[in-house]
Amino acid sequence: MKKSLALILAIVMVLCLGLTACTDNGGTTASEMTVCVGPYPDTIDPALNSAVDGATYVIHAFAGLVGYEQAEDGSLKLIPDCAKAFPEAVALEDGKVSYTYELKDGLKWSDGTDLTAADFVWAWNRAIAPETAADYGYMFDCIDGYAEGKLNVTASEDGKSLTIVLSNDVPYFNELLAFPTYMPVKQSIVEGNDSWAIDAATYIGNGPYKVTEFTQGQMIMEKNEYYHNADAVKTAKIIFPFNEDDSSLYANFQNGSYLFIDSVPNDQIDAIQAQYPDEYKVTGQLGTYYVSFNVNDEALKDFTEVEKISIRKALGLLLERNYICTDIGKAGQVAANTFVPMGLTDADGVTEFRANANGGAGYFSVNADDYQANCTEALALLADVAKSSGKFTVEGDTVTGFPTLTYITNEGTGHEQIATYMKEVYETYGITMKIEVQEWNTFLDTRKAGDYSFARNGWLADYNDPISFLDMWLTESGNNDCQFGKGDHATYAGYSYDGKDGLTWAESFDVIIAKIKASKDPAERFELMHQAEDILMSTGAICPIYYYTDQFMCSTSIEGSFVSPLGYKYFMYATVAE
Amino acid sequence: MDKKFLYYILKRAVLAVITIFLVITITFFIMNFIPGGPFMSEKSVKPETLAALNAKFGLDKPLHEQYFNYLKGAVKLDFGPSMKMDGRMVTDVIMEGFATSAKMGLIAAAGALTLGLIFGSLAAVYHNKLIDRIIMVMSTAFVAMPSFIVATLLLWLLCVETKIFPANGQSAGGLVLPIVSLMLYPMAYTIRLTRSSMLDVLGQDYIRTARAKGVAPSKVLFKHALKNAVTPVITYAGPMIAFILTGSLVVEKIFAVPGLGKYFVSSIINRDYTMIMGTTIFLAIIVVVMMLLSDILYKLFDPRVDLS
Repeated sequence: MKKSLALILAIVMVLCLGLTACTDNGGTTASEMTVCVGPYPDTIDPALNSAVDGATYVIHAFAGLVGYEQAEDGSLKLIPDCAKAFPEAVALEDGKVSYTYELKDGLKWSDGTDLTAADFVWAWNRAIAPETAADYGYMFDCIDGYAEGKLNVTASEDGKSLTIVLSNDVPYFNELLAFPTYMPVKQSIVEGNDSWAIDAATYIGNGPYKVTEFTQGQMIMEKNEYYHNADAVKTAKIIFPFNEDDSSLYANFQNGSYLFIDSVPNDQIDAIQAQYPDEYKVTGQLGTYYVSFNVNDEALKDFTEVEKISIRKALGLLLERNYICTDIGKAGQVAANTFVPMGLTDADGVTEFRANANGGAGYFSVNADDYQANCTEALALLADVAKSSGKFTVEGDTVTGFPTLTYITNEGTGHEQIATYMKEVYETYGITMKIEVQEWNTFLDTRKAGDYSFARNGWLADYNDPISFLDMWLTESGNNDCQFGKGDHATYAGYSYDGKDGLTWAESFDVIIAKIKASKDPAERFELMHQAEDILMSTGAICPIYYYTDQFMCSTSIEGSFVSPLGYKYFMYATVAE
Repeated sequence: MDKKFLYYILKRAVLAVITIFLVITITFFIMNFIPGGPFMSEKSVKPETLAALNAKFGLDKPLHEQYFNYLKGAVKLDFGPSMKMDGRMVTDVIMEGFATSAKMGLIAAAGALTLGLIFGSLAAVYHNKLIDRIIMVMSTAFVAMPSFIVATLLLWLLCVETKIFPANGQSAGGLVLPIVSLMLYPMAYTIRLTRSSMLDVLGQDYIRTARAKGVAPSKVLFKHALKNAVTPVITYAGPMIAFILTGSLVVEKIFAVPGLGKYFVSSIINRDYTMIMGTTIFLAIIVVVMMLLSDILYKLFDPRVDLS
């Protein structure tokens, strides 16, 4: 009896402790802010990271040669960070280009030791070394020597400048220099220590903040006095709690614990928009949500390649993308009629690439008024296939005897809702679609192996250049989920390029991509990229649905934070009102 | 402790080792047969990178070799590095998460058992009276309500609407609500177990005898009756404590508690092979130990139990 009583007393005491402790956990003061950008990260090693939340931590703890700043009008602009200025390109004899970046004076690591150009050289070569096994090692593939495993990057003797030789000039190179994979790391700490990035004591950076605590619950960063631009850093401490549950994030935002959350519960968006008009924000993100068709699909093997193209195009045209954006996505998504997404610019650096796609019209109309016309066109395409193949019939609005197709998607409310919508649309025309929801890893495996009919898909850019949306469809690319140029499709010679008809995928698309990569003339390069997208879209195997947006909630007490189109959040120059 | 008892414990220890060995073997092979792998992502990695990763974690070796290498490590309780969380050792991750989960779990389990026994006994003593009815309605409700409903309700009521508690386990006081959420179900279950076995015991002759002899009612209840009524609770408590100590995915997610629970699920979703093995073996060890403990307690509470 006494023991139980003691236990109860103990519990009551613990509860009381909790109560008293939480009362002094008041609002955030101006010297610190609590912002949540994701769950416990897989890694915050700049070379190994490939996640958006990881990148946000990295850009706070490290500074590259180039960084971002928010201009007066709210747009982002690239600024020299560790570098003094943007250098001019120097053309070399063999068509290569070199850039020499002068480093700012007195650069230091967060432990007070000197940082030199040699640190960049070491960090970059580490990132491409096979034993590092970095997902984003290929971000260095424009630098000469990448293929040989030794980058043509040299530090001057005094360590004050860095000369980089590119195999050919790339217009987005300064942007790459601001990318987390390009951040320097300290050799003496990183070399031979796999665990350097999980311990605050060894996680030495050169950025505006330094990590002072890193547990499974949260990361705490404090201002790095050694940062070259430390005067611009106003908030002494940033707390990044780790949290991945949308409802929990929202609850913490509502009760004021978190001043920033990076995702919101999708089913409450309407209420959130009404209740938090100033806090709920949607920004563009460089990415496309699409449906990919397997060009070697078994279910359609009785049709000719030309018939398959018509079938895929018809199935794509029957979808009303505006409905998907406004009634399912609900986060400001934009209906897509190109694969290269909104936000990527053309050769002039201003016009959107998609504004010039397919001669300027896009690959089909996503205007709500044209939806009926799209459906009519789709039915006409299907009627033609019905006639030529004799495998099914089309009468008026009704398709009879069409083969059943299976759509695969990963788990997720939005994905599953879109799948259901597609099924309903197709059913009104008499086309049966089966939905198979797969667990994430299984889904990736099925899609990559080409063991499906059509599938949910999505792609996000790593930098502002359309090439990353095109070279993924090379025959041998690991991301060629459509299976272009593989299996039966390898012998299909129905593509045209450079005035020649009757080319296979490898002879047309693969050749164009190689040409783009070798091109030194921006105008020609972009023209070729448009041609590549034309070929890609002519297959009907890519069915764009919408351009991604990034939604988050940010307290009005935070000022001066900004978001890059890649989704990275910048709090280093932000202040918090008391 | 007699010889028989020691022999029994020895036998159970050997059985435990065999059980854990079976758990390792079955998990290892099932895990390797599910599609996908730890290094898959939306953007696929280059073949050379994949090869380097496979070599780094020994996944390039034949499966039986991987298995024996794993067993060698597991014997020394070295579960290797996580394949998904760069630079982290599985053992460290489990221990860090377990520290939080176990702290919460211990309080929750202790609370569930004490409150459960007290309210269960009360309900039995006041059989069919108002107190009994209230206790039974409450306990039925808590048994029926899944933890995600209870947790979400508490979150909405006490964190969002009234802001009495913080909504995350990172803040001070943030562990109170998760502990309460963890506690309610086992508490309600214990109440029901205690009540029914108590009703059974209270009707027996020796209780009447004790009462007739003038023993104080509280002494009759807690010394004579409860000691005999507690056996089903002990049976239940073993596995319950094991599971509550290792954390709950739902409660940890809703209250943003950095515990161990989430790794049981996330490791499988990520195909983090070493983490799957680590968490499974860890859970197996704790369950086996708790079962053994509850059997021993059984014997202490009821000497009639024959352990052989």
